[in-house]
Amino acid sequence: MDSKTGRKHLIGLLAAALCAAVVTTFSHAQTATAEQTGSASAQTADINPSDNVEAPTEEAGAESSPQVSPSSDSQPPESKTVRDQVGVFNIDVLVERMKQTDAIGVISKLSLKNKVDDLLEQANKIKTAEPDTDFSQAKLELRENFEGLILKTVALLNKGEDFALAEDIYLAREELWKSIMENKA
Amino acid sequence: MNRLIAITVGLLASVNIMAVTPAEDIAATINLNGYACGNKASNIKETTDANGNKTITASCPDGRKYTIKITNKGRVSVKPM
Repeated sequence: MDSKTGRKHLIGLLAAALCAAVVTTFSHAQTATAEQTGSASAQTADINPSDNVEAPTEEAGAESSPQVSPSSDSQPPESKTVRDQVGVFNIDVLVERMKQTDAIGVISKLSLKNKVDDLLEQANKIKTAEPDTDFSQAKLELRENFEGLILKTVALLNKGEDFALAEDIYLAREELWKSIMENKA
Repeated sequence: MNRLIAITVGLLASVNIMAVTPAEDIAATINLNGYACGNKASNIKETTDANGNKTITASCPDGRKYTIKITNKGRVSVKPM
């Protein structure tokens, strides 16, 4: 009788501990995502003041739209997208999110990093070349390689079900391209 | 009790369900390097030499075999066998 009760208690405790661990894991993940999104939008405000010019107009529209209740159903997704577009422009945050995502395996991440390094090397060759050299074809190739890499990354993230990061990277591709072209040798 | 164990295992599995398996990771790496390799690789064998360079051999669903080399500097290369 005692041993049965003891066993039941033990099983109950184990189940409770496991449930607590699961809940903690999920809440940590949610908190981390919220923090990243928050810090992304906060830091972006400093980095890209020019990009924020459009955002307040859209957000102002989104703020005023809830008063118009019948048409407000379509408004919130639009305003969320705009917020995301503003938020993703911080490249350091995107890089950190890429490092932490579980959607891509370690070897794939390493391979992607190699490809980014190759792109940067290619870009540096163009930038450090003599001014009179015609690099229009090389720039075109570089852009094609860059677009290919973005699509591969987005495909991998979508496959791994990290849709938020996939969308953010796709939206931030022009910023990423600028950062590649501005990166000093 | 069996039901409790099943629920516990299910909960644990749901926590780890998002992680990429080595078979998927290797297939993705092969795909990234320009070779078609479906979703999962199989017959994965991994060796590491004294310098820390890693060599992985794997088969794709179409039967083709590939060698993935990862140098100690983090350079990844894929070659068909």
